[in-house]
Amino acid sequence: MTRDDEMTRAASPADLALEGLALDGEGLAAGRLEGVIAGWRQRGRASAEEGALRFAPVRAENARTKLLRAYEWIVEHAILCETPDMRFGAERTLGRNRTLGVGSPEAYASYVLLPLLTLVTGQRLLIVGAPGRGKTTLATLMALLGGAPLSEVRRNTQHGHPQLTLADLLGAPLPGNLVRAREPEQVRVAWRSWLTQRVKIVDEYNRIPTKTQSALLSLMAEGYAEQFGQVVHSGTSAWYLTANDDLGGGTFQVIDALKDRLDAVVRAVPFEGARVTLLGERIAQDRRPEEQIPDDIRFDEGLLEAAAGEIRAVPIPAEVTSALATFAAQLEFCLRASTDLERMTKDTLRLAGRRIGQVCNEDCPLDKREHACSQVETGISTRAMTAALRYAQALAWCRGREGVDLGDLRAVLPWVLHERLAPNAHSGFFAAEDERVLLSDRVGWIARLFDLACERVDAHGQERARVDALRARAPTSPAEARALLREVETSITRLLDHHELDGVVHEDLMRLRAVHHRWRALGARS
Amino acid sequence: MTSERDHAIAAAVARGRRQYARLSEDALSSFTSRPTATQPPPAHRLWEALTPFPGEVRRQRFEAWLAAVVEAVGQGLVGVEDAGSPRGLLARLLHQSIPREPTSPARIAELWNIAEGLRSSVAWMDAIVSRTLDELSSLDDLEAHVAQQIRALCDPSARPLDRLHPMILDCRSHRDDFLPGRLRLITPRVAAVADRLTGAELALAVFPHRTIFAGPVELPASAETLLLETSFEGYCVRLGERRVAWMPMLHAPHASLASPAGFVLATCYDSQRVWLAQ
Repeated sequence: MTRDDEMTRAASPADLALEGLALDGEGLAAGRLEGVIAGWRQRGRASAEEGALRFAPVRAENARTKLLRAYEWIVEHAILCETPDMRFGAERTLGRNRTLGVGSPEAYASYVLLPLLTLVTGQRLLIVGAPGRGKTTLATLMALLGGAPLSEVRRNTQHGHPQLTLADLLGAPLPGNLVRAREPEQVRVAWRSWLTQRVKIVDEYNRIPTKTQSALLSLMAEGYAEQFGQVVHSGTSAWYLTANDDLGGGTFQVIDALKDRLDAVVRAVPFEGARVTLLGERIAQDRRPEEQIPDDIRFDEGLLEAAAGEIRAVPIPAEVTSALATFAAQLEFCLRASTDLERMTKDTLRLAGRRIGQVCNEDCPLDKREHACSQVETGISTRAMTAALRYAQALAWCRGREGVDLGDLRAVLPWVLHERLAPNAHSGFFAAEDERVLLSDRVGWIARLFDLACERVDAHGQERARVDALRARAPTSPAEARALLREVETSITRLLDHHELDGVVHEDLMRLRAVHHRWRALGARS
Repeated sequence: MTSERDHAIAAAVARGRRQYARLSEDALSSFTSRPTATQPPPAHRLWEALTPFPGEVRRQRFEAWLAAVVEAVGQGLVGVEDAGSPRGLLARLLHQSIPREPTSPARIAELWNIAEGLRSSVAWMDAIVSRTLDELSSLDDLEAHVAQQIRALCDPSARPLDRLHPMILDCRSHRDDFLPGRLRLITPRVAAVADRLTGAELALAVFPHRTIFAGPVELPASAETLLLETSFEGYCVRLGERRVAWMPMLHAPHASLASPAGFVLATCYDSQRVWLAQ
């Protein structure tokens, strides 16, 4: 082979890297490249109409990309948040007596991210904080991102006040129609337009009278309102409620059932120095952030639906559901509620009109520093667990993860349980000076409570693995069933006789009894 | 008249803010108000170049260019770092070519489409082709120029370099801390030069009359038939049994490659330079 042969043997044009041009080397040689370039020129996004340049939108955009862009814009231009409190990944801890984590690879401000996740999942969020912290502005921004024009958002925002009536909230019969009607069915109700909006804002909901709160409750809980036999459905919607006092105070006490309908709570961020610059810019421009929201971060109905679908499809591994279930079981457990294992729950205490503080310190032998049950007045509802999992899915989606992990769950739990978990201030746990401060920092407290519950499960890992293995078995014959029942009984006996009865052991006992109950009939056959 | 220019700029910027969340004010001002070391900002240059045109035409052409600038910045296609040395055809057209050679809105739309088409189809070629725009005599010939450059990049025929002696190309002109290492051939005239520190790759296009560094860019896999086994023997690169190039001052050779287009490249451990020989 000559040198020229050697050097040019690679000259086969078909091998050139031209995939992006939809051409191979032969096409290039045959003069088809000009056709490709002419295609770009003629079919591109730009065009000139009546002497002005126009651009077609970029092809269908990913909902997640848009959400992250909206997050960035709000954080940088609308509500400056320089302290992202939801952090993921390893960070360096600085300081000795007091510590501060820095350098986390991924961090978000809950005050902005949770409202955005509420928008794409269609949940109900309470925004709490002192006056002037931008709660209503944030809710308005969410409605604008949801695609509504500003005038409509302002018209449809419900402002809570002590004189707010059912008619103000829901609508009223048309007066002329009311006079002419002979039957209730003939009365036509003019429903308020906000009821069917994709994003619903109720400002200062704790100033709404109790009676009107009940109407709000049925609208939030059931998704419809009824008057004169007529029904209006609210449809899939994201709710934003604001309150000046995070303890649910205000002019009227908020009914517990309404609080439980709130899927999560966020706290308005305190004043940050950097905002002075932003305020200066706003004064110069004489425009509020809600008047400046860019078009490319607004969602349309289709994109919101697509995002909701993608979020629902994010897998939740068994590790996560199990951690949540065990956390809930530990909070619900109360050793002194009953002598029967089935009723060792905080519900038993509540129904008897007693509080955990009355039995926890004097009667209960469990170490208050190790057992989560002592720290809370109540357990958590199924609704709360559903909300936690939906927010965790949304967070995992937003982070671009393939599935939910414990970090996602831990990040959302404090906000989902913020209004639902009441601390037992009399618990011995809060007697220590370091822990007493957690009574005023509910977010930090719930995160630590979850960590404590997880540590307890880890400490109990061997027994838990045994219980899980027994639960996973599916005997196919009476003999196999009898063998399983014997093992279950042995495990129950061991747990009862050799383990301190706490929330984790109690959960295992209940699970084992369920296994026993399930297979007893098969085991009894000859 | 200047107030008309500034009014048009203010209106376009306000429109951009309403449209795009990631509109970079810095990138915008590199077009509208910030001069470079040697030149006024592109908006001022274009406005001046439009002076001979009637008022309405001047306004239309200026506003069309502004609309393209706002779209490019808002979509993140052009950034503040493109002001000094534009990284792609679109940035170069908007920063340099159109302000020098004002053109109609319809032609700006076509230029935009060609540039966006090239960028979305073969971004690495865009980075190289944009640097050849100084050879273009008129924006009317852009399509032909792009086609010619793409063909030249893929041209497998062995053509002698204009310089007979080996050349030493300094990567520091591209990035201060770039340490050239591994080499691979993307087309007969484009080699990927990898940074030993980060693994990022620069594209090195070798034409008979000039060389162009571009990147870092994501480069495609090399075609297997472009692989020619090379090795070092002292200051010489061998292709099979024969010495094919002599590389002066190449003390600690690291990598080499030979192209069917008739040139040889080499890197060494103790230098930020790339050796090029016929």
